[in-house]
Amino acid sequence: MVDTSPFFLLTEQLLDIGSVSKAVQLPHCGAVNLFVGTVRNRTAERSVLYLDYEAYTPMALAVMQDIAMRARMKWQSIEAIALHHRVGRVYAGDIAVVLAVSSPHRTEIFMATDWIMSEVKSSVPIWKKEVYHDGAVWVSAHA
Amino acid sequence: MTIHLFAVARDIVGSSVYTIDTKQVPCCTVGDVRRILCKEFPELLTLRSFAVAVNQRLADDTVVLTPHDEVAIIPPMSGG
Repeated sequence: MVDTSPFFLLTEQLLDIGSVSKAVQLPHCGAVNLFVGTVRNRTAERSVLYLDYEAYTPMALAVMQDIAMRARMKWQSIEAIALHHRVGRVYAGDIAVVLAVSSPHRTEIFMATDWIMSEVKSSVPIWKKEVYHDGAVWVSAHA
Repeated sequence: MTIHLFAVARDIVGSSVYTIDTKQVPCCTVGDVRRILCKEFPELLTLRSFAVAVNQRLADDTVVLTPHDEVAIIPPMSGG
């Protein structure tokens, strides 16, 4: 379940924001932008206890790397990208995903961060089931 | 031919793998796999959509499968 790359990781362990940030910190980069996604405790008025994340691991890692490569083609000042994502059970309030983007200067990294997260949500084969007191739903599965 | 299933698709089929007996059922393109599964498990049609990955890349319905291909059903993704 665990890939050992410092850049792209799917893990059942708690995520460490510092290690994702350090992975992209380079001597000639003056900017690191971090996005931290946490589990909300409510969805549409229902209390969420936890999420069960599941991944098609080898494809998910390949797509994560492909998204990073495309981001670096779109914004050539981007130097490094690291993306760590939880799998398994993640409780409300816990961190589900950490993305770090580095560049010599900050200008483009905000747009790149937003673009990468949109791509992650739409094209990385990871699924989450929201579990409530009284049921569970695979997010976005049905029309 | 073995089809890998994830998340809501696995729940509908009741197993993380489904085998299509290619001696019994003419097979196969990606579109054939889609039709065979939807016929056997009509609840798949209630999904917003589902994609098919071949060797860990999304493939359209015209792609022809060989016995060594890794085929997976990819229901709507919800990472992040």
